Amino acid sequence: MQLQKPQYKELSDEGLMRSISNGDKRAFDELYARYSGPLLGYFMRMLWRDREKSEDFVHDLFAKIIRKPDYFDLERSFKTWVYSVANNMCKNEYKKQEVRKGMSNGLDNHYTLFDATVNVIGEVQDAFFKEAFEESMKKLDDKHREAFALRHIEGLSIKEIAEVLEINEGTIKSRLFYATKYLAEHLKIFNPIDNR
Amino acid sequence: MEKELIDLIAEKNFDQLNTTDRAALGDWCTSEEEFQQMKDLFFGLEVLKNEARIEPRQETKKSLDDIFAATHADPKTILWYNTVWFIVYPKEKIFIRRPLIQMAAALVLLVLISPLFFQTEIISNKAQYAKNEIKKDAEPNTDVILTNEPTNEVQKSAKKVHIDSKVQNEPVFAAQDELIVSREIIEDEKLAEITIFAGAAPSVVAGSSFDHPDGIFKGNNAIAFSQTTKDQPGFLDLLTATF
Repeated sequence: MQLQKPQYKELSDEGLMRSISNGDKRAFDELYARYSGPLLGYFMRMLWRDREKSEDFVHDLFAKIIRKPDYFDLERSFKTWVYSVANNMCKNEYKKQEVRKGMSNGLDNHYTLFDATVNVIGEVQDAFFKEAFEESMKKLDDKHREAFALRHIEGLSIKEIAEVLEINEGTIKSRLFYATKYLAEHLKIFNPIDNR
Repeated sequence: MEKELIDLIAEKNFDQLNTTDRAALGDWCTSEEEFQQMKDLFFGLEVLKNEARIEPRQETKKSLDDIFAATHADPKTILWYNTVWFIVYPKEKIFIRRPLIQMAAALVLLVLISPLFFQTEIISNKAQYAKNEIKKDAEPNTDVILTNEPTNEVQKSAKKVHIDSKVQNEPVFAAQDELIVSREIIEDEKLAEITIFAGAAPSVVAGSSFDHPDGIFKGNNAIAFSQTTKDQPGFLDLLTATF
């Protein structure tokens, strides 16, 4: 058994999924270790920093992987597949929120805790930058936020994002351009470089 | 934004950009202010990335472990299979050093070599056949004699065949010897005279006297005999066997 431990770390995501479908618990543990944190962060960014909801979403996603590993096509990239599933879960949640709150974009005004341009002047610290960044992300449209998060937080390539969101690469570049300009404009007051 | 542009923004100041850099940046940063905003944003993103990632709670993992245990009830066999598989086919080793590949290669080699051994055996057998053929050529008359003048064994077998044919023919003779008995009821109560015709008993019946194949008496000149059962009590036994 000692010999197996490092080998699981060397296995690809797709290889781990193959083992999970055969009931290999260690493979599942390894896959969970790789993706639970990033997915939780992704859900939190996409679901208005709601930790409880994000935990539930992580749980549901991995439960799907356990119960229905065959849903994953072994010919595909696991990373793009798992983020596309996560993204679809978020979209479903937006729809639920729209129905519940009667809002057009699925975002609740209660989640906009502060106006970065007014309330945070003078609190230019790194810790606040993070908070301001998250808040600015919330203000972005869903489609721009998901593209930006997948590219700059999760580290997916433009091609992978196109696969996850099932749109063409040109659209992804356009959305990234808009989101980057928007965030740069809204975060300029924090100027983390000048704070150091 | 491509990684090269992000690196360009992160590494240089606006006044350090040359014409090529500014052309590459294009619409991303048209002014120094925008360039500085981009710089701040990507620097802040690096800070965020370097921070420890949040991890799900232990309860989440424990719940998933329970689901896994319920879904896959008996993982021992799988683990055993994986253990064996990892030993015979370790992926960290190069292809030709994996034991399974080496065993397969040895097997293929064995299969390829084995015909050579069989071929040697065939050659030795051929030599023996050739020797036998020479013997035949050396004594050709023996075979002829054997065929023309049968040995004791052949004679014996011939006799046996003869005996066998006799044995086989016995029922035929028995059938021929089957007695056709006609009874003549004689008025005398004490005597029952039985006329017996034996088709295959030339000593008893004259050859020309019976022209019917069944031996039925037809003419007056036929020789027949009649005896009383007192004189020949064995006839009764014969009758009993017949009927």
